Amino acid sequence: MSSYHAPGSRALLVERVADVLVPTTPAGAITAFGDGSGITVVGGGTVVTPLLTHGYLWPERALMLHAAGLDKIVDGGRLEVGAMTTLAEVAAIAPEPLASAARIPDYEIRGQGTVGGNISVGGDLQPALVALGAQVRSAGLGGERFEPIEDFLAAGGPRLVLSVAVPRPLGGVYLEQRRRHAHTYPVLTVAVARRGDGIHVAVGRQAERAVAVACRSVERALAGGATPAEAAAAVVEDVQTEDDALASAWYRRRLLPLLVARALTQLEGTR
Amino acid sequence: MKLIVNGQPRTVGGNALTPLLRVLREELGLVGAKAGCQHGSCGTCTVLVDGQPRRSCLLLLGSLDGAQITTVEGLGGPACLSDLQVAFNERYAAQCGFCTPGMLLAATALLRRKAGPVERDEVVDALGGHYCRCTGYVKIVDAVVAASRGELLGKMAVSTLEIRGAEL
Amino acid sequence: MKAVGANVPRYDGVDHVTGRSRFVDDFSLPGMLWAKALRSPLASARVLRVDTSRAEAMPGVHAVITHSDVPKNVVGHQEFWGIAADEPLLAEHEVRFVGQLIAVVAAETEAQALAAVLAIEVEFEEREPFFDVRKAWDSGQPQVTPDGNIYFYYPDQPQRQVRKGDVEAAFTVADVVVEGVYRPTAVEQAPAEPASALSVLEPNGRLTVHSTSQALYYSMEITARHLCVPVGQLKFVGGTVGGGFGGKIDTVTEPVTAVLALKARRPVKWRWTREEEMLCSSTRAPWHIEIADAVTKDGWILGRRTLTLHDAGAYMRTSAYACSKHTFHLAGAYSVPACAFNTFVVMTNHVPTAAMRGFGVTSASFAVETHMNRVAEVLGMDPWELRLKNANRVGDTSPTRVVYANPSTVTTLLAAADASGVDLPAELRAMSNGKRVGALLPAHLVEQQREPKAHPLVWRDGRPAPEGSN
Repeated sequence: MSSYHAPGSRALLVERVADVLVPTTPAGAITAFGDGSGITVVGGGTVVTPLLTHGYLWPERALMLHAAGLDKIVDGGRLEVGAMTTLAEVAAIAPEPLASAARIPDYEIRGQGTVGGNISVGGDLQPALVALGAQVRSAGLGGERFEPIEDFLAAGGPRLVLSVAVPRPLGGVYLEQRRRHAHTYPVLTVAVARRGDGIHVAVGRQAERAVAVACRSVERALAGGATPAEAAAAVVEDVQTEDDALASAWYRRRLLPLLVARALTQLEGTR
Repeated sequence: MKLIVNGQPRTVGGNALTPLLRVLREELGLVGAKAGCQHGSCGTCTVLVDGQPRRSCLLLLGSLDGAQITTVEGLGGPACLSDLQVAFNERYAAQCGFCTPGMLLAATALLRRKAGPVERDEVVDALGGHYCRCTGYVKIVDAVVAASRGELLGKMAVSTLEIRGAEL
Repeated sequence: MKAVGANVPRYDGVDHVTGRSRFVDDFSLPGMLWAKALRSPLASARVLRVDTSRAEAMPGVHAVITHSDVPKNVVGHQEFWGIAADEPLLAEHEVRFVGQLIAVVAAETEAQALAAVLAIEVEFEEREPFFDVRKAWDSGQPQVTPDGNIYFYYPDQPQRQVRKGDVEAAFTVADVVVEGVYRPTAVEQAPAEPASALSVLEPNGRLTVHSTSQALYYSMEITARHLCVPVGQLKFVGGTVGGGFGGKIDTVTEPVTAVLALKARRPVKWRWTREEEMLCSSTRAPWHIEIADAVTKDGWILGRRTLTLHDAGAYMRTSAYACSKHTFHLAGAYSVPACAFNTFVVMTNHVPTAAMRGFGVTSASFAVETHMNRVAEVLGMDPWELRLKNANRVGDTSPTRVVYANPSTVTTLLAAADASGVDLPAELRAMSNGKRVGALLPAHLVEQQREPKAHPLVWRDGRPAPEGSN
């Protein structure tokens, strides 16, 4: 005997959440989050609210972060942004390639979406932060951690993002490829950054809910003196593209070296 | 929970995880904000929150205590239309009308930010998250640019019966 | 005719810009219930058992309906055109597409309705689905309907066909045969406003139905037949629709909410989610169109054969009608004296397909125009010249023998060239829609020329209509 319902019937307006926690300090948020089990975190709302509305999440406890003081920005030698910093704020003050990454969503979503939410769900900031060598401060099981973003992304598990530290690069470029109308998601994103130790390259949107990938083969080729086009050709060794509703794996695979080459060429132009 | 809606203080019920869209439509009877997709993609639910355009379908009541909300009903009634509303009407920027409230609010916020003439690409950036399936967008951009320049055609549309709606 | 060419104010313009236009979802009534649906997760299955008892007992639930609650569950959308009814409003012994309705709940809040939907138990026996129209004639394929996968327009003939002239001869004498296969995919109309309906049982026993239908009388008729009531028992309110584009003609939300309102004795509103719109609502159909043109070296199209497979999805709805229109338009705006067009309505386990702007003809236009470019490419000929030569002119006849009295193909082509900045040679720019003469009247087009009849228009009292109105 099987019980079914189809996705189309799941619309729901949440009425029966038992516990909503609204901490007023970062410490309060960390305590409320605990080890992250059995709790739904609401940052800007752009990620979680549709899941609530359409019946994909039935939280028993919810943690709302809007008052937790996680929106502090320290614009110093490196840029530190709290997890609740909006994408609009990031677009206004961050270095490239991060600023352009934050401009991907539309005006309203930029004003509401947050850094913490964006990096938690394969958002468009990920490749920029990977290319920049950013570090993530997070809380959860095992306590607070401060680690390179690639380690944070690889570790998984429920974590409460507290802040992100972004070293200042010597130059950066962010490119995305979209279908040609106003209202679409990118099908591929490329971030490149010139740092003290060389050029770093990362790719995003290579699949649905993809985690951004650092392109070590491209980086090695560049360090070995390859031209942008030559180095970009190596990207297919680093990135596994997939089909999704937006684009095919084939299209992404063909596009990838072109977009990487273009980003690297533009980066040269920013010297 | 206290909200200031179109300049009026309102006390609303609902728990902290109720989306603002639902509060506006079902509790306050302000149905100008629409449930086009309820996942923040279409823009038809857009309202101004503390002057900024936001997706009311994504905003949870618990984060809005004391917030100033402006809906399309707060932009101007039939007897006192804003320049944007006049421009939209004169230039046929609304066909079915479903996206219109959201477009107007996002455009209103843009014109307040800019306080002067806007270029087409600025309009596209500000309204790019709003989805219109009828007009093809050109006339909407025309209307926003025209309103920013005060270029009203002076042919206020009147129905053959010249009925003016009641104020809310 | 004062309004033509004038800038007339929209009667609803002020309503739209003040947010006062009232769409179906903007209506609310005391005691109103919200509907949520249980939809099939499977493309093809037998339904062995549906148990709504737990759902009916849940808080806030006032009614749960299945097929047995619908007075007449199977009503065809085009029975009045001789196309047999085949689609249940709510599934009976089987489901044929993902998203097909099985049961619908009416409860005091959407959350309660959804919780109740989740409590409905269904037992399925899954079946192999059929999806690829190209396999319609293969043996051993799953059969979507009891009559198979190919719809029969006539007892002895499945396809909608057009025959004109001698296609065999055309293909025999042709210098080149140019073939092409065109497969425009499904398109979701995606109106900004999801389909919605609100049904209200009035104290006098009539039903008021607020509907997003693009065709209120059509939907009213279908709803009346589902309810087995005279049309006069219904009052349909609508016309303020947030976009339809063909997707709000199929009539489902109105009869479902009506049945719920009757059972619950309360007003019932059902508004589809964007997911339902994208996944389960009818789309423009996918089409598979094969064209073969018999052409001469100097760019005359002597004859055309076509084979169209139309993916109707799991139920007929308006597909047979669409395919008729499609077939009649497969010569495009061009004079093709010998035609053999064959269009098959193929049933599959996709969501039933429906109208979208240009219903049935958009696909034909796409295929025909792309094919014209292909013909031009094969012949090494300018595509404008190919089109202008073959363009319909006064006295040419359509595939269905309509005599063109006033075609505007040449004018339109020249205007399009002009607007696109294409510099056509003088001899092409000099062309007109007038009757074919000289080089523009090759031997193979002579026989199909006809004298266009004048159809003078007159007022009922016998006064002639204004000059040029024919």
